[in-house]
Amino acid sequence: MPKDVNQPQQRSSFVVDLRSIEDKLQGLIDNTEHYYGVVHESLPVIERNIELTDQETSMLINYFIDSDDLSPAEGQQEEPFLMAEALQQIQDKFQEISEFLLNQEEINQMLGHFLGKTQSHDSFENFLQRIQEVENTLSEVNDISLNAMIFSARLGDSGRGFGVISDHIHQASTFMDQEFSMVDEQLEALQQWQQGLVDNVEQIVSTQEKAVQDYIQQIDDTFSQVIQSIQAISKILRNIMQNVNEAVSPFQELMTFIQRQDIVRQNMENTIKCLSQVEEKYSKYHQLVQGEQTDSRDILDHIAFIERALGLLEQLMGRVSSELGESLDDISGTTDQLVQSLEEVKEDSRQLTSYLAGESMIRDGVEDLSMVDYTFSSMFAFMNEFLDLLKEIKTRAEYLTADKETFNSSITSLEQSMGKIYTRINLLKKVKTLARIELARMGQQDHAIGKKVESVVEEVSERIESNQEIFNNLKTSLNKDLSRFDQIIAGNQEQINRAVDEVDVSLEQVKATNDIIGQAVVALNKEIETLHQTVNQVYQRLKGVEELKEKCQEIYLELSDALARAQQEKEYTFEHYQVEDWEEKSEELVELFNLFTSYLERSTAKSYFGEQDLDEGSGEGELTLF
Amino acid sequence: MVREQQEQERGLNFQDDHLDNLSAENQYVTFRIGEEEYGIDIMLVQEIIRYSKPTRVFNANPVIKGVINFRGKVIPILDMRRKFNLPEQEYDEYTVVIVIEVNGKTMGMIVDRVSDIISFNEENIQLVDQEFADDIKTEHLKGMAKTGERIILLLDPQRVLTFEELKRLDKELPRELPESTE
Repeated sequence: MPKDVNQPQQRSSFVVDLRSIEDKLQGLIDNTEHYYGVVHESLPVIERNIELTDQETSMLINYFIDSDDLSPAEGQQEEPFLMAEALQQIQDKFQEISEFLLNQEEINQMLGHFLGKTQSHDSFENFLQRIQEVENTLSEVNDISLNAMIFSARLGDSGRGFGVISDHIHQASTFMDQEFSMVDEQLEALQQWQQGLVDNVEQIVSTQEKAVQDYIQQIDDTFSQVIQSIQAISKILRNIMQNVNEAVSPFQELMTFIQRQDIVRQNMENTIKCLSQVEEKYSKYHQLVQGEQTDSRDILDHIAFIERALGLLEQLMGRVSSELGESLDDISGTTDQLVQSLEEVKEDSRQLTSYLAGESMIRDGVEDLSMVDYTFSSMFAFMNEFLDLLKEIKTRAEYLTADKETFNSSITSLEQSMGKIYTRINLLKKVKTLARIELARMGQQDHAIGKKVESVVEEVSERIESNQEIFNNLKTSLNKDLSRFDQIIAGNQEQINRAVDEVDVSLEQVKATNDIIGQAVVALNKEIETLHQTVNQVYQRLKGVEELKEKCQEIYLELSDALARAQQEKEYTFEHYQVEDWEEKSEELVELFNLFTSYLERSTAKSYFGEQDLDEGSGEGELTLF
Repeated sequence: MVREQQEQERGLNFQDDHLDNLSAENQYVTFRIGEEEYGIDIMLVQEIIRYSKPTRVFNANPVIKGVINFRGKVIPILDMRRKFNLPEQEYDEYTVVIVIEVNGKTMGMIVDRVSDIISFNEENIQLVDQEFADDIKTEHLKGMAKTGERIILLLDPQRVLTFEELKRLDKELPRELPESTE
């Protein structure tokens, strides 16, 4: 019991501005709210961006590059276009083209009559030889006709009849000789044409052989190089993405840190509530101290409560301060670490992007292509060279088909000349009979000249008739050869052209994919840059962390100061009323205790008050408060 | 022109003017040596034969290419290119030997090719005045004949070989040829 001292306290220097501390605490809550808000707002956006970039890159890699997973995702309508698939298509077409290309043996079979590769009697070469033989025989006819004329001239008048006949033989031979010079011209044209045909066919065959040897056989290597390069690119892209994911992994921690802030905030809010209660007691205390009929127990109750509560609040504020400082340091440190890691990833990505898909540069006069472009440009160069070869073959084949006109006109002229010669042969046969009659009339039937005329006319007729037959057969064979050659060449060309068109389409797809890969690599780099920029902005905004910590400390110090003053006042009051100790009203403490909502506060309060009956609750589920 | 005409003559259309044209009086066998076309009286010509390599004989006259067997007689063969101082040329399928008989002497002339047998009217023949004929070619000519645009140099067979040359030949040439050397 206190000594009943009715006179009021003379002195009360106990002045604390708890309202100001409340206001400061409210200010601190607002500031931290803003601080965490920055992180809280940015986090989902950043997280979403990372997720999208990751998805896009994986899609790109799987969809365009990797050939492992061919089945489209469920509900996905479009056919998956794969680089490997397009390349395989091109490869298949090349193989197809190689099968259409003719080999020398096939051409020999087709153009045997032209190329002199056949032993057949109706070969072009055989025909030329026969014509030469006829020409020789014809010059013999000419000699004999001249000799016949000389023979008749020397016989004088009795030889005149035979002379006329000889003259006819001579004229026929001269005519045939002239006609043969036309035949010679046509044959020369035909020979030149045939040589051209042979040369062109040889060129076609050698070009085709080159195409097969240099390109078709190498295509597998070239394409597997391309596939390897693409897989390398794919791997690099995966690495970049993995680095990004590793760099942003502390994001999850940030989320936890933000949740911690919620508890800190609750603590501060509760502190404000407590402070306002203490402030109430504080006001009442001052009223009591200045009142005239004040019960000293009331005064003691109040000051003891104020001192006790401020003590608790100081302790709690100390914990809030360290909790907040820790949380702020964590957030700031994590963000800083994020910015640093992203900085590295960004630099890697920038370098890789310029390597993979950068603009090509002219260095020392040589075009320095990015890796993606280099991979494709060497493949395109290879393919274009091959397509050029095919074009060359096509041009030659078209020339051969068009050049058939020369053959046809030469053959027609030849046919006409042969017809004329053949008619003349019939005449010669009749003249031969007349010669025999005339010689008999002259009594010279056994003269050598008669026999010579007969035998040479026989020979030339036989040769020309058999040549007529050979010519007709040859004409048929050659025409058949040519039209078959034409047909096959045209058919092959058509198939090759179709395959080339399809290769073109596939090439376009590959080119488009190449562009898409390039664009995607650039886009990925941009995403990473944006991410870095966003996180950096957040980091910059979080730089006010020290100020917050200082403010928190300030509040703590003010509370300490308030506590010190309250202790001083309590001591003074105890002294005044000559009490050693004073038991606070437990219901008031319970009231205060009930203002605390977090486990941290309640357990601190419980141990502070030393009251075993107080229920501090459980720390579990603390984070589920919001 | 010639061809058209010949086309018309197809068939056995023997005409009288043709027979007149063939009068043996002024018929010439025409042939080529180098650039020039020559003619020789048909009555002097025995036969035209294909050129085959003659048997070589030793004699001082380079114009004599060799000898051949003609109807059982050994006759000299003259290279007319050498005779006219023309550059030598390889013999081909057109090269022939015109066998002529002059003053009972038979000989062969190698010519580039035989052209034709042509009849000339007297007015188309212009005789050469031998007093002015100092040219190496004209000294062997009897005259010149015109047919269309062609000028035919008519050879004087008497002057193909001189009297002395013929005499010497008589002594040097063998009477017979061994069978195998023909």
